[in-house]
Amino acid sequence: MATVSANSATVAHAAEHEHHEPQSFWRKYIFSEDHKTIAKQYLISGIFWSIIGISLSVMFRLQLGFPNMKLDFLRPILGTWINETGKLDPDFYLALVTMHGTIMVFFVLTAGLSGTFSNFLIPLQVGARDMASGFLNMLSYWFFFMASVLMFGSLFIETGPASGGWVIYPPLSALPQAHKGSELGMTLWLVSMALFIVSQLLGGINYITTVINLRTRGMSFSKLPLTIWAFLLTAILGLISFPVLLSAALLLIFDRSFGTSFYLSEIYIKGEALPNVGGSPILFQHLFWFLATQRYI
Amino acid sequence: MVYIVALLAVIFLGLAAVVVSRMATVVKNASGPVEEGRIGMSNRINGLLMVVFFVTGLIGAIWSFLHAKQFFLPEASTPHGRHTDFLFWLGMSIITIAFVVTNALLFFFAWRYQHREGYKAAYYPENHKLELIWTVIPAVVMALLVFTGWKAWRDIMAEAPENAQVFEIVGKQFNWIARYPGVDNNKLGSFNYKLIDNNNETGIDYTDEASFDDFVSTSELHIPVNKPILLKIRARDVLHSVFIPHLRVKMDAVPGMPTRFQFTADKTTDEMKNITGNPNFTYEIACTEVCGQGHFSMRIRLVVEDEASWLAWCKEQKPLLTSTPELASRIPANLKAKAAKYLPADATAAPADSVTASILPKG
Ligand SMILES: [Cu+2]
Repeated sequence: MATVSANSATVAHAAEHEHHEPQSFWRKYIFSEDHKTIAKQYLISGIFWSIIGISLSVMFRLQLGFPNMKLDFLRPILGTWINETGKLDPDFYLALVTMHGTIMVFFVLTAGLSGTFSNFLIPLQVGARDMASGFLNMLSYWFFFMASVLMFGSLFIETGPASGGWVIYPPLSALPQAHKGSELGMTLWLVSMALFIVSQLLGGINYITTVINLRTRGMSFSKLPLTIWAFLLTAILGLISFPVLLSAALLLIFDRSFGTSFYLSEIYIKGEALPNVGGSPILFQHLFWFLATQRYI
Repeated sequence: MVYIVALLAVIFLGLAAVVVSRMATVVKNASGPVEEGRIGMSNRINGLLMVVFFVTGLIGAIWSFLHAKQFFLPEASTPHGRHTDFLFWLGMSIITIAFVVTNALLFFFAWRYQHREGYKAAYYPENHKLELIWTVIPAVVMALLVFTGWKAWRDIMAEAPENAQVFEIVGKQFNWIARYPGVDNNKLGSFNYKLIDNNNETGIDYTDEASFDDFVSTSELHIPVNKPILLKIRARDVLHSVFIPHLRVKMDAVPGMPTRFQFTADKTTDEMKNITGNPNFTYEIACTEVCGQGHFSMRIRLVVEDEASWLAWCKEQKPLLTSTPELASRIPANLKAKAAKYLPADATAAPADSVTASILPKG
């Protein structure tokens, strides 16, 4: 299809712009600012997370669909999470459901899909050489990576990961005495989610800026491909709603660790009436679903 | 109901026919220069597979629905439940018909209008009349659905009638506690979460004389049939949710924020035994908000019976004050006399614990 002359022209053209010094392995593949490399990093992390997320769901669906099934063969991996009768420990069942939801919604759909395709396609389809800020883009991935490490690590701690449902409604998630999964696992969940939100905001700002400012000559908004329109709107919605989730998580961290009563009121638990009054668990639900309704869409 | 569904089906089919005929004319008008055969058998196979996929999917969906039908709940035992069920199935029918028709067209078109030698796609940018039709009809249908739904919600959430029989249900990890207003004054006493302990699991406030005849149960909630019921809902520790599937009742129990649900059950437990053909049938109140380790087993039995036997049952129950005379120490001195008839003779003589009684704010 292509002729020799066209090929050599491309080479000459490319050579003109090759001003970069050769990049080290670290800069090229690990701490890369290149949108395609970052897209691949998101893709690989997303695939990793979807394997984890799906295998968690397979475990609890086996238990749910076949209540009498012996799951002892999972004991080498899960240890005491499989109880003496060969069934999933009830606490672990809730942990599985919770982590499956968290992983699929945030780490696979939001980061894995949106991170991969927005990063890969936006510069290509609007005709930009790269994202508006390669550095922010790199930070975005590495914040996501840190969030991933914490969330993954929480699967291996003794009290287990967060297990109050992926919506982590307080007071259950706010009171360590209410639930095993509301101990260290919940703290790790919240810190991981805070880092995750930072990553999403850095990414979102970049997507929006690139689409608005770096379109090639003649690429007006009305000629913008529909995929880009979708990425742009997704990024704007994310930018509006992720900070709200961050505030929900922060208030929950305060309630858990600093004795505030944003979500707690008139609670009697484990033989003790807590002093907290005046808070509202419903506040958390409003803040949470401000994000989550649009995440579903 | 069937007529509405049928009417909507006709409208949607009509719409679909309009689209099909439009597309057919468009395709007929567009014929361009013939190109040599670039596209082989695979195109035709893929087109056919589209239709196969749709038909298999449809058959699978119908089979799965019919198979699952045996697990569906029986007809609701409350008037509001039957109404919400009607709205559910109405919405479901409209959505299903629209879904099947649009998807049938999607997959059928992929097969019907596959690439053919000598055909060329036409540029057909807009048709205002068509766009108007497919915007206005769904908009009107959606508006009607939203309006009827809003009306149903307003009726269900309305204030309970004056003569409603009041009960209280309190959620804790991991069981429900039912509190009855007692047969003497039929009024629930006030409560305070700081009063909760092993003797007084719902935090009943004994500075309120309406509390004296209240009794509690962790195994059963008995309610009269065909009488408006007002269920007051509380949670002690974390979120729980009152779920009575057969009555289509569902309301969250929130610590620090009492909620309520009013309904009228019109089928007794015994009638349900006949209807379901299950001699062991019982209504169940479950918890439907993840509340921790024991969430899956958190439930209490609901007994719906005629008013006379309900009242008789209530009269057999002992007020909490009678079964737990230690609570007498919480009664302020001026009400001791009124409480005396619920207490064994020696308990009234016990010294009043004035400290507990005086620090308590009204619940
Ligand atoms: Cu519960």
